[in-house]
Amino acid sequence: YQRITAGAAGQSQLQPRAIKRQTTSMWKLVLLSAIVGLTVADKVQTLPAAASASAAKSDHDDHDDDHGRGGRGGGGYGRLYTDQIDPRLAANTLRIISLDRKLEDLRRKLDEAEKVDPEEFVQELDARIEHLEGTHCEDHEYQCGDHDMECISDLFVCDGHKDCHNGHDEDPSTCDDAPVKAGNIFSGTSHWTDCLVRHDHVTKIVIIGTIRRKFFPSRIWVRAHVESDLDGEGHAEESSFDAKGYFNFADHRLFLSPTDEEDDDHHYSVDCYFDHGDTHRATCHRVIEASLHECAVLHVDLVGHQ
Amino acid sequence: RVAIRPGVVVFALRSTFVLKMKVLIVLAVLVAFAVADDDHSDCDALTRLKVKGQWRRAYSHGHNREDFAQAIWRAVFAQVPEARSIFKRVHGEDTASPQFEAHALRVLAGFDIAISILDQPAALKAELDHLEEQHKGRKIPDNYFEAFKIALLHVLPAQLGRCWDKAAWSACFDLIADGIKGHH
Repeated sequence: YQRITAGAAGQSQLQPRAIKRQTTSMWKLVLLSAIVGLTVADKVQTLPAAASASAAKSDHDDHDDDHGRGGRGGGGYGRLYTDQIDPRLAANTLRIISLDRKLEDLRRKLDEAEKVDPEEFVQELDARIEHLEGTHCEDHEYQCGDHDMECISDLFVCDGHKDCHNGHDEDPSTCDDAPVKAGNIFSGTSHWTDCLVRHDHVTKIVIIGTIRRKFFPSRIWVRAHVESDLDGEGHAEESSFDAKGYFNFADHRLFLSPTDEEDDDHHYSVDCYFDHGDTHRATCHRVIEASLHECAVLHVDLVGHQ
Repeated sequence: RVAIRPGVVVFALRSTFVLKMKVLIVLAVLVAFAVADDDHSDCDALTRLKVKGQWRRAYSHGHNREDFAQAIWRAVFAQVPEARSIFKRVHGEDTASPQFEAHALRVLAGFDIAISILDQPAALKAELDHLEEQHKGRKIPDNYFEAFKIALLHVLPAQLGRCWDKAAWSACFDLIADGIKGHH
């Protein structure tokens, strides 16, 4: 299974250009073989003629032949295949053409295969089950994984110092900062259940900038812009605010609270967990900062990088 | 014939009175600011209460407290590695050693006392004098205090997660640090 996915991933990465190159070279091959077929056929016809009679005669014969072909007219291609070209070559040409079509089909299938990645799927199931099982650790603690159920403080995760016995707290997969790269845009539909009366609307979270302190690397400090496309009375309206917060490696949590407290509109904080086992999808809530009371839910997805 | 109505006179008198009052208020505010400026302008009475409350949440308890202390000292030594030499006696070369853990908890305990009595000036003065006495003669450069402040101001929001006031902490930390350094 591992091998299959690795193979699929590898092919899918280089497939579109490679296949294009293959198709063009395929056509070249078909053309070449056709030309070779023609010249070979020509020679086959001239050689016995030269052997049987004088050069002039054979020339004349050839001309005669040409005239005859022209005279009979119309059926040039039919004769090309039946008389001039070796039937086996013609069959091969057809085979190559059908192979070409099959390759095109394969390209489409590879595109499809990319959409359902079994490894990602299993990772997501894994993450969901883990979430249901719980971590056996206290709040603000990170579970080192595997079977020894070790818990360490989330202040130590990804700080460059190995704190778990198995070293999971410094694992590259744990410390992947892909979710909060500056320029990332997460988008999803907000569904309000409390605090505000609003129809479902699209919310975008744009990561503007990040800082990771060398002396305290276990958090990434994030600045972001949160935009909501509201449906006003018959016209589109945008409500947006600047926010700052942090990303915690231990629970893959991105917390953002509004920076401008004197804003007339009251904006709610954004509390996101990348809980799908990947770095591009998150489950977020709009919350009251003080109590973490949930006002709205939105499932966001990374956009604009494909 | 000029008739002066009593109402106008009363109004005029009242307006001068109001003006005087306003000047007085402005003066009082200015004086208050000047006084406050002397004594760490931003670490005022309300700010001290805020810092106290947030410290209680961050300082927590048990194992969590050890980790909190550990994180602060890792961040300190990451900034000023040469500061480890001051802590030779308490195994500063290994922040995870029991000796250093104990020391880190002692430091936080002292800090805890200072913060708990931020709103009791007399008691705070006594504690800061005591801490100054303990640090005297160790020749601690100011940049080590600065490194401790920066470490604290990063680990605190990580520990608290939300609802914390950096400006308040910065001001009140300076008050305590200056007390320990003896820069009154």
